[in-house]
Amino acid sequence: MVTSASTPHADEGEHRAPSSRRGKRWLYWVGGYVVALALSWGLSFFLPSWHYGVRAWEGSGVITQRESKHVFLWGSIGGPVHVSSEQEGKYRCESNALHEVRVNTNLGHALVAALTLGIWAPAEIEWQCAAPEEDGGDLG
Amino acid sequence: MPDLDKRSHWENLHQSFRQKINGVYLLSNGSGSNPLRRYNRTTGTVQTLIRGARRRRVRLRAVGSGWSFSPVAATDGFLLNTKQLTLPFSVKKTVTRKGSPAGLFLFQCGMTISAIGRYLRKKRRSLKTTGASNGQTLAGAVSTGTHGAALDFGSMQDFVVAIHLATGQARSVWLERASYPVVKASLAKKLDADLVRDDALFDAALVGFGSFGVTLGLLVATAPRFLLETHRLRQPLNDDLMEAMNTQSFTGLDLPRPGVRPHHFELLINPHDLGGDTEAMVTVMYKQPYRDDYDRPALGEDDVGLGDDALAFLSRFFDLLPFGASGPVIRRVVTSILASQYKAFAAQLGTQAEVFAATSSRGKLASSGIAVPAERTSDALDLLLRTHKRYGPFPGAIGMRFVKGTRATLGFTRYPQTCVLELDGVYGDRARRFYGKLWPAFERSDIPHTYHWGKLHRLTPRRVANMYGNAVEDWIAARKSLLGTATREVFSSPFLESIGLTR
Repeated sequence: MVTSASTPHADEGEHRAPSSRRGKRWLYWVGGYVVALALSWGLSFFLPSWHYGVRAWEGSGVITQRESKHVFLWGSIGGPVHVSSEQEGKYRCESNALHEVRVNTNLGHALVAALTLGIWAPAEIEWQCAAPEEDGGDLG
Repeated sequence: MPDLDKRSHWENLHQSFRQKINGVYLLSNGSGSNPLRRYNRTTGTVQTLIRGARRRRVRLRAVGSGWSFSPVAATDGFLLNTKQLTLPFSVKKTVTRKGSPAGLFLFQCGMTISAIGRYLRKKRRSLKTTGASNGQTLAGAVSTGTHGAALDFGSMQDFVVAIHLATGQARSVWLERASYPVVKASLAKKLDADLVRDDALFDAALVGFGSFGVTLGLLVATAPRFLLETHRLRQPLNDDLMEAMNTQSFTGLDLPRPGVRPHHFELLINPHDLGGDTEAMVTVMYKQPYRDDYDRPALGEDDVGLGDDALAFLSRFFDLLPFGASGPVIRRVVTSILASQYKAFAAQLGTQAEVFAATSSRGKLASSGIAVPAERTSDALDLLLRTHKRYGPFPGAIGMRFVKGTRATLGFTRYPQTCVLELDGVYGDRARRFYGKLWPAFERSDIPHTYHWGKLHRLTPRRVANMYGNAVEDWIAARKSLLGTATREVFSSPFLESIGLTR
C-alpha cells in the first residue's frame, strides 16, 4: 500500500515541479525585463542622441535650457513645458516667443519606450527663447 | 537684479570647450515705453553687478552667442548673457559733431549681425562688412576681431567709431578716438556716460576680449545699402592665382568683370584633391548700387549637405577608425561634401545680409585661422600643404580670405593687407592632431603670422609677444589707464592669464 499510497504523492510531485519551474521562469522573465529596462534607462545617460526640432530661420535664441521629459500611457500623462514672460527661472521667456525647440532622444530612450510598449516614453526637451527684436527710435 | 541661471558649466556654440562657472545672469532691458530709459536702466544694472563682483572678488564677463571656438569669451566666475539687450538707435545729426559720417547707429551689445542686417534694411543702410557667419553678437564679433573678406575695408571692428563701456564706476564710459571724435558731449550725457577721447585706449579696447569692461553698445558707421554680385568659379591653382593672392592684383586672372576690383575675394582649396590640375573654388563679389528688382537668394539654397549632428557623428567616426584606415575615408567624405556644397554659379545678387544669410551651424566643429601678410600667402599655403601631406588628413578644407589691416592694437588682421588661412572641419582627434603639427610649423617658419583669437590656437605669452611685439605692452598699458587693479581682476579670465595679458 505504501507503493499505492506513494504514487499520488509522486504524481503530485511530478506535477508540482514543472509549475515551480514555470514560476521561476516567470520571475526570471520579470527580473530580466526590469534589468533590461534599468539598463536601457542607464544607457540613455551615456549614448549619443539624435534630435528632431524646429528652429526659426531668422532671429536668435537667448540661452539653451534643457529638461528631461517623461510621457506616460501613450501621452495621456506628461504635458508640455510651459514658458512665458511671467514664469521664473529657466521657464522665463522675456519675449514670450521661442527661437528653437529640440527633442533629443537616443537608443536608451527608444529601448525604454519599446520595452514598455510606449507606456513610458522618456526624452530630453531643449529650447531657446527668442531674443527680442526692437527699434529704439532716434537718439538726439 | 536680473535672473541668475545657476548652471555650473558653460559650453560654447561649437562645443569645443566647457568652462566651469558660478552662473549666468540673464540681462534684460525690462519693460517700459521709453527705449533710452530702458537702455540706461540696463547700464545701471550692469554697473551694480560689476561693483558686486569687485566686492566679492569674483570674475564677471559678458558673453554673446558663444560663437568663439577658443575660450576667449569665457571666464570662471559669472557670465552676463546679453542676448536680450537688443535695442538699436538711429543717431541724429543734432548729437553728432560736424563732419561725422552719415548713417550712425548705436547698437546695444546683444544684437546679432543678422538682427542688425534686418534693422538696417528698413533704414536702407548696410554694415560695411561682416564675417561669413551672422549669428554672432556685434559686441562679441568686434571684441575678437572678426573679419570678412572685404579687400579694401577691413574687419568688423573697423566700422566702430565709439564704444559705450560699463566699468563699475559711478558713470559709464563713452570712448572714441581723439583723432576722430564723432558725437557731442550731449549724447554721452543722455547715456549717463563720461566722454573719453583717446586713440590708444580706443584702439586697444576695440579688440579687448571683454576685458575692458562690459560693452554696452557700439556706435557704428554704416554704408548706404548695396548689392553684392556674387560669382563662384573654378580657377587652376597655378602661378597666376598665387601672384594674385600675393599682390592683390587680379589682372592676371580670368574673372567675370575684367578690370574691376572685387569687393570680396576668397578661395577654398580641397587639400585631399591635389594634383597637377588642381583647382580652387574662387568666390568673388562686386559691389553694385542697390535696386529693388533683383532675384533674392532663395532661403536655404546653400544649406545643402551635412547637418550639425552629422558633423559630430563624422568626428566620432573618424576618431574611431585607425589612423591608416581613415585617411581614404576622410578624403572621400570631404571631397564629396565640397562637391555638393561648393557649386559654381554666376552673378547672384543679394544684399550683404542676404549673401551672408542665416547660419545654422551647431555641433562639434573645429576651426583655426592663421593670418599672414598677403605678400606671403603663397609661402604660407605651401607650408600648409606640405604639413598636410606629411601629417594629414585634416577632416576639412582650407579657406583663404583677404582683408585690409586693422588699427585695433591686438587685431589679428594686423598686416597692411592680410590673408587669413582658415582650416574648418569636424572637431576631433584628427583635427587637433593636424593643428598640433601645423601651428609649430608656422612658429618655426620665417612667415610673420597671428591666430584668429576666437578660433582654435595654441598661444602662450611668448608666442603672443612674438606675434604682436610692442602692441602687447600698449594694450596692457591702455587697460591699466582705464581700470583699477580690482576691476581689471573682475574682467580677467583664465584665457587672458594663460597668454600673459593680465599683467
